[in-house]
Amino acid sequence: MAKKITFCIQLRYKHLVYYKSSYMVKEEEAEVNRILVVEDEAAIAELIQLSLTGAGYACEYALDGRSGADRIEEGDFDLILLDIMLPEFDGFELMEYIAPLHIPVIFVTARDSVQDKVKGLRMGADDYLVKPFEIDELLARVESVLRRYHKGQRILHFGGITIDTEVRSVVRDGQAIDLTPKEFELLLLFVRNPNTVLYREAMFEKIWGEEYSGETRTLDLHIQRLRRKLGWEKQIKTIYKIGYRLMPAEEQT
Amino acid sequence: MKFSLKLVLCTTVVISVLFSAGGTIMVRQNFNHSLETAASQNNTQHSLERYAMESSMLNTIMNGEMLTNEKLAEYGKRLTGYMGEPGKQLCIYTEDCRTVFSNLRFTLSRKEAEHILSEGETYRYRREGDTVLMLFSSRLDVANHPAYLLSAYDVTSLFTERDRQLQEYLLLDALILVASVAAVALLSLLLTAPIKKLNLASRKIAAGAYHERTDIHTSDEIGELSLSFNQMAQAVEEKIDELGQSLQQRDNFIAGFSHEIKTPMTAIIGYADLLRSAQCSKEVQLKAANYIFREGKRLEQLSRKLMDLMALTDREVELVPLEADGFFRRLRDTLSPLLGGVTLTLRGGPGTFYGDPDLLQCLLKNLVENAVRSRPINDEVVLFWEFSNDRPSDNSRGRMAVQVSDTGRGIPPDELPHITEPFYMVDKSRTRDGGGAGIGLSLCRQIARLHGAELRFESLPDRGTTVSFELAMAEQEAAHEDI
Repeated sequence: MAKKITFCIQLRYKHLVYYKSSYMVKEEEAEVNRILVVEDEAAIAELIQLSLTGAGYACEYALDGRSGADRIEEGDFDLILLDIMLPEFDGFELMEYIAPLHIPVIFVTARDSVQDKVKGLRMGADDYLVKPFEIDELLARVESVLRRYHKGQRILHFGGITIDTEVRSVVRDGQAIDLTPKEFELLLLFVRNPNTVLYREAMFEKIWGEEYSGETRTLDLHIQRLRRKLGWEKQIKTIYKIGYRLMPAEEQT
Repeated sequence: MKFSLKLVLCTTVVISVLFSAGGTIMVRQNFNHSLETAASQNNTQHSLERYAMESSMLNTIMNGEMLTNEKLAEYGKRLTGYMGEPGKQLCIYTEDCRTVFSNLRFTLSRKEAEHILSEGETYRYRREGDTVLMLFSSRLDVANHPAYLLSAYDVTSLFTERDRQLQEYLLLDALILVASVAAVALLSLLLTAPIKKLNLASRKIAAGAYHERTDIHTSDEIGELSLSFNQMAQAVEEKIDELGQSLQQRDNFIAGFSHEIKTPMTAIIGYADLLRSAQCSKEVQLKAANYIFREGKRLEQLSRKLMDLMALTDREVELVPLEADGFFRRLRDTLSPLLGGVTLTLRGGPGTFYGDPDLLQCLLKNLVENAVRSRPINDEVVLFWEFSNDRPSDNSRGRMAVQVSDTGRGIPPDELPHITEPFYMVDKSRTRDGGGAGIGLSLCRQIARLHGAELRFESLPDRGTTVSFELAMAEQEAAHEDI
């Protein structure tokens, strides 16, 4: 039983690694969501791409409305992130083109007037994100829209545990593990960034929403408890003076 | 209280007071006059009676008879007999005021009688119930038997006539009042109608219908008022439009500004977050650092230009004479690192002009940068200047025309009026293959204005753009060389 689960995870994780290294390659498996970013600022387009790829999505970007439309025509995307002020065709024009295709759309734009928001949402967009945004917010909204379309990764498998992100439950070998909300957030952060060194300051700020003072032991206490509850004493590695790292699933057994 | 109502009330009060007073005075005078007439008639009558009495008394004495009270009574009776008018009443008294004869239809006490008789030849009124009487008295001084005659005449009709006249007059007064109130009401409605119109129009304007006007065309004061009202409404409408426009411009400014700020902010925050959250590859680190640096520079440049623009607003500059050749050569030297393969050709003759060297450098640098950014087909930007003087004797009238032309992609005609608005960009997507935040031309316009000049843009899409302005020419010898 345990072996079977591990196998699943390995398969899935292979995707992630694969996408991280070469996201431009077309992917056959439907499990990985493909996202198109249409954004004329290369800096922001690449930022979104980096972040989404890091979070396990397959992501491409187009720098103007025309090439955006071309990409949409060619590829089968699960979600489109759309800027409004674009060269060639603007975001609203592109939206008209996308609407009949039933691909979910999130507007990502600097235009923050209520009229623009209403217009965007009326045209059929699923969400509207105003710049400047933070990457975590973007990821959360992408996840939420995908979940609405039942495309999202509601169930995550990792190292023998199953995580349901919607009802926020954690199960190991059919046995529910009771986690506090903060511990659950921590677990999600680890599982979404496996084999990556996470910095303690950023971790603290992301989970507790407060500025890190450098003195608090809260994070370390929570990590200790999480390790004990999950039996992940070895998997969650402490990187001295830097942070923590969740070891990849392959190295577990 | 409404104006028309006020008018009606005032007129009513004035008319009623005037008419009542006038009518009453007239009736009264009429009455007094007829009373006087009646008095003199009755006086004559009384005299006749008196003579008749006196002659009867004399006859008696002359016939040798004794004049007694009985005789007096008989005469009195006879007098009432043959002077037999129905209203005739008289009374004869002895000297000590005892009644000898009386057919008075009322009683007069002795005291009253004494009082009347003592007054002598005059008359008085006496009201008895509904009747009014006029009393005359006189002393009958015949022989040694003096007596008094008192006659009373009925003048009730005069009083009733007066009352009737007053009543009639009051009725007439009331009728006139009603008629005049109606007339004034109608008149005031007519007069206040244009005022109502004005009122309605001002209310509409107050509610936001600034195009509203009144159409009252009379030559009176209200017509004039309406005319000035319309002029005022016109002025208000223009001001409101102006305000709306500047508001629109401000909104555009803010929208552009926030876009210009937000895009680099998003990138900087995003990449920084990426770097601080987890260990990433060297490649990603470098990329992120690069973007943070570049976007940071962009913010810095934006803030610098914005500060320039703010500092230039409402500033007085000192214009000094500048020598054209030297100025433009120095400009080319500063610009040459920014040209990126495009040639800047200078063309123009010698001469001097007035200007602030730093500001003009900034202006021309922006114009040339724009020209370079427009990707000229022949890789050339031409800076051309020319001195002209329609009155050679007067150097102060001389002008220097300056032109920056390129053969780049040009500006669509409908965009031309807006290009000097802050953050306005012809390319709505704000892609900046050449950089620039969209405040360069606002800056240029501001600098040109400080030199008393306006920027003129001529442009054809895909053919190129020419920007020109004029500066004042300076006298040759005044040229400033130490810049």
